[in-house]
Amino acid sequence: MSWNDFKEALASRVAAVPGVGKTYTYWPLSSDASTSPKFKATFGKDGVLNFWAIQRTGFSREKCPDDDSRYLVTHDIRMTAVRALQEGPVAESEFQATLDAVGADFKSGDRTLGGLVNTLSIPGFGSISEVTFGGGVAAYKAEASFRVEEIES
Amino acid sequence: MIESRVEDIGSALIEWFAPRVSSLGLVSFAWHPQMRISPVYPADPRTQCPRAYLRVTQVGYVPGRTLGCQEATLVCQCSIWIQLRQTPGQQHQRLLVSALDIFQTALLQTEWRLDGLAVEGLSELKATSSEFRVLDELDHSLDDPALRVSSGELSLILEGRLRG
Repeated sequence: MSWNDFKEALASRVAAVPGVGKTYTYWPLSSDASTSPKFKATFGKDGVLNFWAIQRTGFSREKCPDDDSRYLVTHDIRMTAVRALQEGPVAESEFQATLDAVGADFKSGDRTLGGLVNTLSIPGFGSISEVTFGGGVAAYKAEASFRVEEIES
Repeated sequence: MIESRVEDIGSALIEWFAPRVSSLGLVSFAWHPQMRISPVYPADPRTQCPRAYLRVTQVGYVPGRTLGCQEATLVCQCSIWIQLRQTPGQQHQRLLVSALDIFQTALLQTEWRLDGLAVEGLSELKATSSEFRVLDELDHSLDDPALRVSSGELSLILEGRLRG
């Protein structure tokens, strides 16, 4: 197993949570994205900028303490959620609810991604910020970090 | 010629216990492959637990009473470690004590005599002490509650006669 073997399962897991927009296993925003005619199609959901990016930021490999022939591989994952800021309280509350829902799904759901990995930690979202995307679209942005563990022979 | 046979005795001890603790459904019951003094977190508790392993800690011989006779009394301290994977909602301490009870019951029912060990020259092997203790659980580094491991130790002092 490797990042490429389970990243799609991870993305599908997140994408299945209600409120989550388009989900990518890489950072999808390029420098020319704002001028791209496909901007909304790429980053939007129901006409609103709403996408999630799941990226591996690092990994480590160490021997299992009781078995020299096996290794614990730990992948550090960063999950970034972006949603367009709109007038009124609805957009922000929806964004907050989606973050809660994703956190709850990891807390109570299968931690093995259907048996692909040994386990994963529960994501914790840090501070939520307001940023600008794609030609001036103000958006909420939140990041969560967590780990995925595999056992490798 | 008399020979020290602790390795054979350890292996025979595992064979003696194995059918008597079969209800535990142990995935493995063997010599501890490592040298560590306390239980180690298994690489994969889902497939490796429940498991038991033997760790010999100290061995001594007392010479036989008649000089020139090829005879010695063996005193062996050893432990059997038991590890169970915990899953949420279980009564973890009760399950571990229950598992240790099965080992202890095997000794109680034979009055601590470990007869029938197939070790050449060994006779009258018995446990002069058997006690168990429940240890701290071993947590998974990512704190998955389904991957915590309960560990317990059955400490034994064995005594037997070895002849050449």
